[in-house]
Amino acid sequence: MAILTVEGLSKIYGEGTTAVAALKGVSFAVNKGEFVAIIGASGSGKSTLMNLIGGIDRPTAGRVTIDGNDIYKLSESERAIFRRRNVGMVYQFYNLIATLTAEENITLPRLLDNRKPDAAKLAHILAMTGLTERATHLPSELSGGQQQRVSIGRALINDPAFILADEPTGNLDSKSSHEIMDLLKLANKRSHQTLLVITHDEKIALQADRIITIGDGTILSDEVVKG
Amino acid sequence: MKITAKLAYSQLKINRLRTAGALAAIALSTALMTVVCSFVASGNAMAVQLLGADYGNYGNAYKGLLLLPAIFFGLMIVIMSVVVISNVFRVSAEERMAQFGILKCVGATGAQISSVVLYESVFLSAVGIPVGLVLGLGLAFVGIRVTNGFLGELNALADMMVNKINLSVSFVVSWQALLVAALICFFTVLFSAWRPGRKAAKASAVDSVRGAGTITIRKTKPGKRERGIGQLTQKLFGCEGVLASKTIQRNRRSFRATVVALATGVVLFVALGSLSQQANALECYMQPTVEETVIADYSSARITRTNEKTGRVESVYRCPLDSDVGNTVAEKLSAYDGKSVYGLGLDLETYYTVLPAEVITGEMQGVLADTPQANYEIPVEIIPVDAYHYKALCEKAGVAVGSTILLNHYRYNDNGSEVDVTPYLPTLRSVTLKKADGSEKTWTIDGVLTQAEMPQELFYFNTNPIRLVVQQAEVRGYSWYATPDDEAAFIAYANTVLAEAFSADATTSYQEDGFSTRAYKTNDYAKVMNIANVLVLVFMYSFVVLLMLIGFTNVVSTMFTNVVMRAREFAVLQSVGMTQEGLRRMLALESILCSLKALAVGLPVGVAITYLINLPIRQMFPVPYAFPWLWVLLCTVGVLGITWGTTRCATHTLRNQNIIETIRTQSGR
Repeated sequence: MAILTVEGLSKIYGEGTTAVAALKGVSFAVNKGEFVAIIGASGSGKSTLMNLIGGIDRPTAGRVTIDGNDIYKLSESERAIFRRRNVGMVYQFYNLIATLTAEENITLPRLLDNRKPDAAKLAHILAMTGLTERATHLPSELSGGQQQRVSIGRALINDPAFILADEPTGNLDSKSSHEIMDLLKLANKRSHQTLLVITHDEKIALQADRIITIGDGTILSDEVVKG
Repeated sequence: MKITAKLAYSQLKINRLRTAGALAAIALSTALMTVVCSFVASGNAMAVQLLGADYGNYGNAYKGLLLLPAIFFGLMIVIMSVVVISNVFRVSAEERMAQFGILKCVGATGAQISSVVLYESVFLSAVGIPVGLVLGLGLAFVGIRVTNGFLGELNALADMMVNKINLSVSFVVSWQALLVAALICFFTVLFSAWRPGRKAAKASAVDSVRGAGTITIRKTKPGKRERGIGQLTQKLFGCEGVLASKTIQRNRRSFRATVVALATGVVLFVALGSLSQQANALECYMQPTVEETVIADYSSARITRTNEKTGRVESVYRCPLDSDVGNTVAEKLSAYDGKSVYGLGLDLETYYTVLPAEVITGEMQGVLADTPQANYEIPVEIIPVDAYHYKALCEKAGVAVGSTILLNHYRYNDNGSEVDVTPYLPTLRSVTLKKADGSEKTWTIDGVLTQAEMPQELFYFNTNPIRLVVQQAEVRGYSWYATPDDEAAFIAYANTVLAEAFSADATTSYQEDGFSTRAYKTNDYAKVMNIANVLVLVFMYSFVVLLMLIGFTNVVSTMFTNVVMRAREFAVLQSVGMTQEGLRRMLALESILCSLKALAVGLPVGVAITYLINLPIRQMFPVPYAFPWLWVLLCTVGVLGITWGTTRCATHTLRNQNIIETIRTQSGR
């Protein structure tokens, strides 16, 4: 069953002669529990696709359906709430709030929902990400790998239907990269969370079930790697 | 604590300098607002005490007198606060666009983003407003003490000149006044935060994450003129100058609040400076011109009505004075120490005359009417002088005692300057005096005195165009000018003489008696004017200085934040080879350009206001317009000094900055 459907998705930046088409009618579907890697050179439209799937940008044309909800039919606020409950986002530059501790950054989506973070759940995520000792540290007191683990913890706290990761290892050394990918795969396997990773690193892409290659705003290939 | 509140709180903690600036601005606005509200409360208490709970007959007028200035000052405070405080929130919100972007990505709604900014304002108000209220009560207390000091002097003078009055303002702690001040300030702060908050909420998440946010860098294609200016700047100030002018041009919004705050300061100071200059000129004009030091006078009450027969408006004096009585009093007063007292009666309203153009000089015709006429209707002034001095005047004019003497001089205010004219030609031999009831009589003019021949006592303000000195007449008022050695004793003596001559119950008022008498020092009026003048100026200056302090918090925080926020830009400039000295020069030039912008706006507006202030004044008094050079100069020096000094302090913080560290740590933001 498809948890994510992308249909005829286009995005044009600018207007008139300066208009640049970042995406040109991309369509694909992702099933529940799948681990999909999206690869492409820089400027190919990867990040635009990620932002559109995450619901933080607006497409010029096309639809994105997550779990049966056409997310661009929702209002701005509804989409924000939908995002906080159903999508976990991981970025290359971690994007943590500098003034909040690791623990607070992880529980941020729940705090925004005015819900008390479940202590057992938080302990579980801290243990899983290996941050139990570092829970009260500020991002500036953590290494790059640790910061990225915080951001994964944040993506997992609400048990989202799927996780979107944009170059999650792009800013890390190879040891940290391994740890991060293992963590993401663990979530994918153990909780059957759908995982969408955007990368230009072939080694990472090869760990996925399926690789979608994007170039010049269109899908160049879509192949299943593992059965 | 809610997460949005927590984020707001941590932002306040991180940027302490700006938090302190915002707190100072809020506290100062609240303090000023409290002072204004407290003065209204105290004024109200005084008015109730003097006039009764409903302010008596002229209730609305008094209420207006109390509330209109309060509303005016209140509005100025609110406008200044909104400009300054909303700038704080705008800069703070812009700085955190990336953070808001992250929050949006994690699923924060627009309302939650703007509530982060609003929480900031609530926290700042929670501290700033109570501090401001206390500060304001303190200021109001001092202000009321100062006012009472001045009022005490006024009361003493009024006691001598009119009758016993006791004006004093009491310090009233009114919870309503405090509540109004607090609420106005709270909503001002909330409003100031609301707009940047809404903008942050509306910005797209993608832009916010990229950090583009709401900072709009204006990119304009340089025209021929701008290219020319660019080349000139390059030649004069080098590369740093070009960079500085580009920063100011392309990043207008960041400097707007500073420019507005500085320009407002310039406008207020120039206007106030010129106002005090004009008040001083007015005071000089009000200084008595006679040498006598004490004046005693009598004045009858008057009724104005329309004469049924002729339809003309006429004045009827309740208790007119026969000049013979005035003469007797002059003799009695002269008996005090043997020095002669100058007695002078005055009737300005009973008679008018119609004169043909042939007897009036061309100059005077221009004064009387805009277009030449065949006949001119002119109000007449009848002046009986005491027997001793009247005789002297007759001798001077070369006529016998009992003659009517024309004072052939008229002084008027021509749009700010005093002009003396000789109004009548020698062909004027007689005047037909007409009354409003239609009766008339013709008086021959026996002698003429020119301006040079007139004694100083006859040069008082607001005379009629025709002035006749006579031996005897019934008049509305009479004044006695004396130069005693002991002024206080003479005033006491004069009061007893007056009481004997005009037996009035000292406690009854002017309207009931139909007349009033008093004895006072010649310069008492000027003193009253001076006290009122100084009181008003003290308050206006205090107000403007405090208002400017609010603006100053903005200048400081903008200049500092500007330097801190651009640390990365400076580091990049240094990494490509700009020296510390060059950096300092660039910032100094930026501050100068910013000041010049403020002066370019503030000075013309300020000068225009000074001109407008002078317009009604010079219609009434010979106070010509004077360009406020001193104030223009002071403001220019002040504004340049403030921005340059602040920037200098701010750049000091950059000294120990490590280039690489700054580029590295700031690049992730």
